[in-house]
Amino acid sequence: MDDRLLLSAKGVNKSFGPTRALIDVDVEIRRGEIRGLIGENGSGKSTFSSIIAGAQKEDSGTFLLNGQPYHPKSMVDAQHQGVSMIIQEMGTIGGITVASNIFAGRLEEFRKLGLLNWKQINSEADKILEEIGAPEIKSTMLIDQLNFEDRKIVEIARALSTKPELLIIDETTTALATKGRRLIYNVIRKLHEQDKAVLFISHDLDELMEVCNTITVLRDGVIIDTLDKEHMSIELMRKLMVGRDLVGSYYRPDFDGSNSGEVVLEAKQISLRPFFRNVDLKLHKGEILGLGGLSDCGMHEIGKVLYGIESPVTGKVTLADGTEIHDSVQAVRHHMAYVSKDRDKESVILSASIQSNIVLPSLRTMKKKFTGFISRRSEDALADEQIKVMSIKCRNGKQLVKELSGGNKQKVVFSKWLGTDSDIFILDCPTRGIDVGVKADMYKLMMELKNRGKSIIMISEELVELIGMSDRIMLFKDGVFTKELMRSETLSEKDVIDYII
Amino acid sequence: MKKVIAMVLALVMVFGLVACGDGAGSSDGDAVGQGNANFDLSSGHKSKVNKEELTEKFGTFKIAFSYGQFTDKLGSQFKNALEYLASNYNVDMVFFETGSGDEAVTNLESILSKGDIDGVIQVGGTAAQVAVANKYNVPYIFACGFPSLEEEIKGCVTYDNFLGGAIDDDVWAGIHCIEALYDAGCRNITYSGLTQGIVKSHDDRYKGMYQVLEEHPDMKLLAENYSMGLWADDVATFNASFNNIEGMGFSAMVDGVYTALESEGMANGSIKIAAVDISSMTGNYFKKGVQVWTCGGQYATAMVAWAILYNYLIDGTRIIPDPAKPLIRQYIEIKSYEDYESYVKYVEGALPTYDADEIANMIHYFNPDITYADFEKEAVTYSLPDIMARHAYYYEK
Amino acid sequence: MSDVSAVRENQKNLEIQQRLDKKAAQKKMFTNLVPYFGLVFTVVFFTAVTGGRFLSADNMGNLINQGFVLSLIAIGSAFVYAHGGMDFSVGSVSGVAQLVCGIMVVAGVPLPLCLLTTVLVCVLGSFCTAGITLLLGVPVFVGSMCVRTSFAGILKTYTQTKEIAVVYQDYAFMNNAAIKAVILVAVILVAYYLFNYTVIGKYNKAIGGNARTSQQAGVSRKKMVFIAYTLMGICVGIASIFAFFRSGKVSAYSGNGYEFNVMMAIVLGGFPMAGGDRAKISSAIIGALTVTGLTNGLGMWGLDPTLISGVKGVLFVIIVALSYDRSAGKLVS
Repeated sequence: MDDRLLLSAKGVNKSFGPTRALIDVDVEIRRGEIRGLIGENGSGKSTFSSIIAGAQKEDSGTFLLNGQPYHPKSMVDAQHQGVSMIIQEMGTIGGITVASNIFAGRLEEFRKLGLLNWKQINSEADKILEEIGAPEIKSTMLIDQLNFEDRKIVEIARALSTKPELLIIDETTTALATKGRRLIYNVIRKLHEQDKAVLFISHDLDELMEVCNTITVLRDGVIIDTLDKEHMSIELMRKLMVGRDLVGSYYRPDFDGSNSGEVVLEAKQISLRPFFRNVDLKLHKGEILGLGGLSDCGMHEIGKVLYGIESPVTGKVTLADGTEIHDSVQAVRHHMAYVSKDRDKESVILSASIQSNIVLPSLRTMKKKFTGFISRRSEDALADEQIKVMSIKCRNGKQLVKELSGGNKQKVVFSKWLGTDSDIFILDCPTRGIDVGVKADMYKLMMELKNRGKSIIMISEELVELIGMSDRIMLFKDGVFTKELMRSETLSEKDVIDYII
Repeated sequence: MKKVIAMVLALVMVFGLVACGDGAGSSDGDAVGQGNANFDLSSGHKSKVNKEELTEKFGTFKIAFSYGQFTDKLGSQFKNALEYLASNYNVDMVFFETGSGDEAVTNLESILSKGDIDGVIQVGGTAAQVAVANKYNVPYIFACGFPSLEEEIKGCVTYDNFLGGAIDDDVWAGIHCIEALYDAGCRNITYSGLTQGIVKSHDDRYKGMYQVLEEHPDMKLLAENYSMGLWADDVATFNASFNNIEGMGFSAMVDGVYTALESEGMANGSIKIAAVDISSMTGNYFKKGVQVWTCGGQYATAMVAWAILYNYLIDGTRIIPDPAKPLIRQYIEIKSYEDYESYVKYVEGALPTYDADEIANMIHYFNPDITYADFEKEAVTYSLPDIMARHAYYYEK
Repeated sequence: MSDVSAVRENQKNLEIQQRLDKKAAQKKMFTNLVPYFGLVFTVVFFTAVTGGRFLSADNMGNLINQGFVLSLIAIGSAFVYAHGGMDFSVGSVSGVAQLVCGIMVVAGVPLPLCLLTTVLVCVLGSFCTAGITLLLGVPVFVGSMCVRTSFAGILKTYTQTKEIAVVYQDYAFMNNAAIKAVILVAVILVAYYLFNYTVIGKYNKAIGGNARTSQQAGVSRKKMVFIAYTLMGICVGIASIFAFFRSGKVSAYSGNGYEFNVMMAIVLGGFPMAGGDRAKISSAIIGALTVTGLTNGLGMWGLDPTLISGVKGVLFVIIVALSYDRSAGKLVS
């Protein structure tokens, strides 16, 4: 069996300051394996794959590639030894041709008599592109002419140009549509036929189930288990990733979307060029109102206008008592809360402590009337309480928010609004980039708020989530309202899709 | 860790720099009085100043002298002249920068807080600094600069330790500067000066210029500019603006002006220039007949101020009867290339304009008959011919 | 199948984790202590080389007199730098304020009125900077430079033709180190309170940390920035009063260079130039004291004054290089 062993990793450890990303990790990958690697954010999977790909060095541990010690000095070095990686973010070099991108760093191999043989370079590049199933991309095209997906395909071509023994796909499919995904599945299939190996990292459990023949689960830097084809199932994978059984339903147990009829927030004919126009909206007390559509349908900007951080060109937003909302300071004072979809840039202060972030909107109510005095103790108490209630994973309230995982950061964001006892919540993509476990907690929290009589507007690009959580859904397309759907047991994505595309 | 090492290295470097700088202390510039413990006197003149005797009897006096920047020509002349005196007398000199605003007060406080200074001479000082000296009970005298506002002067004289000041006659200089242009036949002139309100001596020079213009209605001021020392630029600007310039006056002089004149083609003698201040190329332009007048040698005034201070230190003699009125001394005038050559020899040479004995003549301890009237007389007779006469025997060899 | 807690909490890994945590805590503590270390080192070094005279009662008085202006302006500036702002006009505004003070005193206006007007001039100056920046949407660097040039122009124009000086001895009481010490302590206490226990400090730091986040959390940026500049203006005003009486006259150089000394002070004290949560008012105070002690000590030690500026300049460059937070990606926003 051992001569089928392609890559072996033993006792791998990696720390970033006080954060231990990988603890005593052992992994063996054999030829012909399509190994899925799953784990929550912060589980260590990206750290592991980047070490194998030569982008980082491990703190301790041994690697053997084909039985020989393997310590790549760089990604190019790893590529030469037969290990290539494609990533999620933009990995092409702008301003040059497709062929130059594919052979980036290796152009010297084509030097003949002191000159670069462009004819050969281009034809080789075209050959690779054809092999992977993208003949419409020509080697002489300028990379900037291509869209994101096609550029990603060029990256794949580059990774394959060195004929790797092990291909690492790190969350690449998350950012691709059908064309790109199908191409990658094809590549994987071909590599499998050639008895090569693939390490496939993705969040899409269905995709992994379909493509992989073994799946390894990481959690908190520790290898939990490796599942083979027979034992794979979505529930098991989720359970191993999260570490506990997800009791109860994921979204909501009920299907009752009715409300008291009391309107707490109303928007009349609001428009914001060029994002959306003539939108009427009513939010009722104790209601979860979902806004859905494609990412550019204008719903994100509607959220901003409702909260007052953008001013509508026409129309107005009013509260139950008639107050017109025109800026966020006023919105906060009237017990409104807003969670931006751009978490790092707009919802948290990364360089500040968890405590500072949590208490920020509450400071104006915490201060004493005449002196403006805010006691350190009351700040500590508020922060500690929220950390406990929300189970924020941190050393203490003084830890900086930038050190937290995405899910914990979002918990901090929620904490700060819970701390001010807001009544109206506008949540924009509240569970984006968050692990399964934390997502479930967020949904539970939203239900809790609803049951306490709070009102929520949830803006989301994830249809499943909208359908699962909303009492009522408003759909938008190209800046215009298209359809309102009520909560129902039989509602599915298919019913919704036509109104947003 | 890296931060600590870097910090420590930085501090070591800084203090190493400091240690070097502290030890040296020599300055380049014109050799005036450098290392002349006892200038070789011919004709059997023996100095009446005996350093060892004085030191034994009175100890060493530590005198602090400040000026704007010792890196400029005048600064190094001050330094050399006073070091010459110090080396002949029982004096140690301490030099420091005057500074401006409240920084100036800080500078003097730092020097005096050492506790070992016996007297202070400042160029560009103010009443605030006199007050600081008073706090430390140290006698104080102004050199080459004196407050002009009554309030300031009033403030100074309330302090017991204030001895007064010795300054140069800048108004006189300004007058003679423009008169020289007039005498050379210039009727259309331009004037370049230092920004008004910053240095009083320069302001007085303009005053002199305006006086002459008033007295000579047939002389016209085509243009004037007062920018922070951009006199070289003024040359080009004026030349471009006027084609009938006959003379140019400057309240100070730098080599850059001459270079500008050359490149503007104005250095062929058709235009005359006169300046209150000498720079290294000045001689050339006298030779060429372009420059008709200049003056300089201000460091002598600092020497006189030093003498007045020494008077007080050695036996408490107060030379200036009314410290509110400064002693006003003339500049040395240079009107020709021969003058310039003599100036270089006698004023910028190895021997300063006063030798140790001539200074001793100003000091009561050595010359009991000395009075303020003598100082006032000398202030007017002081001139190039005067120096040449006094020091003739030094150069006869 | 492995259990995460079993792995992470086994003996070996617990120890490793504890060791890493301790190291991180030590590093944080160290970074916070570096400015204090700088101050202590300065004091100890100069006391040693001057044979104790650095700490004499007389020099203490000098230190207070010399450091008063810088300390006050640094404290006031802390509020502005906390939200990522800055003000290059501080020196010029102070110069004009000193001019106004001088004119009024010489004209015989009762002293309290003169002092009040001086402070108002400085508040006006910082208002202009804040106003131009906030209302015109211009970067604060540009706004403060505009104010700087305007005020410098006013000062220069006036002092070109007239000089203002007071009879120095009449106002010697304004140079009393004890009075200055009391005022300084009072200002420190008030500033400390406002910065750490009221929304003024906290909101300004939040804006410095992330302006959008704080806006969405209900912080009114315009109001807070104006308050910060007003506080700074008051501090500059008080400082200007004493700066005037310390030199006894007004010249074109009055107030020259204050803003750079302030920047050096707060950087030396460990204050982040882009503001944010790490901003501490103690940094401004420590930094100002260190700069004062350094200047005083170097002069007392006998360093040629020409070299003093050079030394200070070199130190500034080094400190900036050390405290530049590469992860934040910018020194000045």
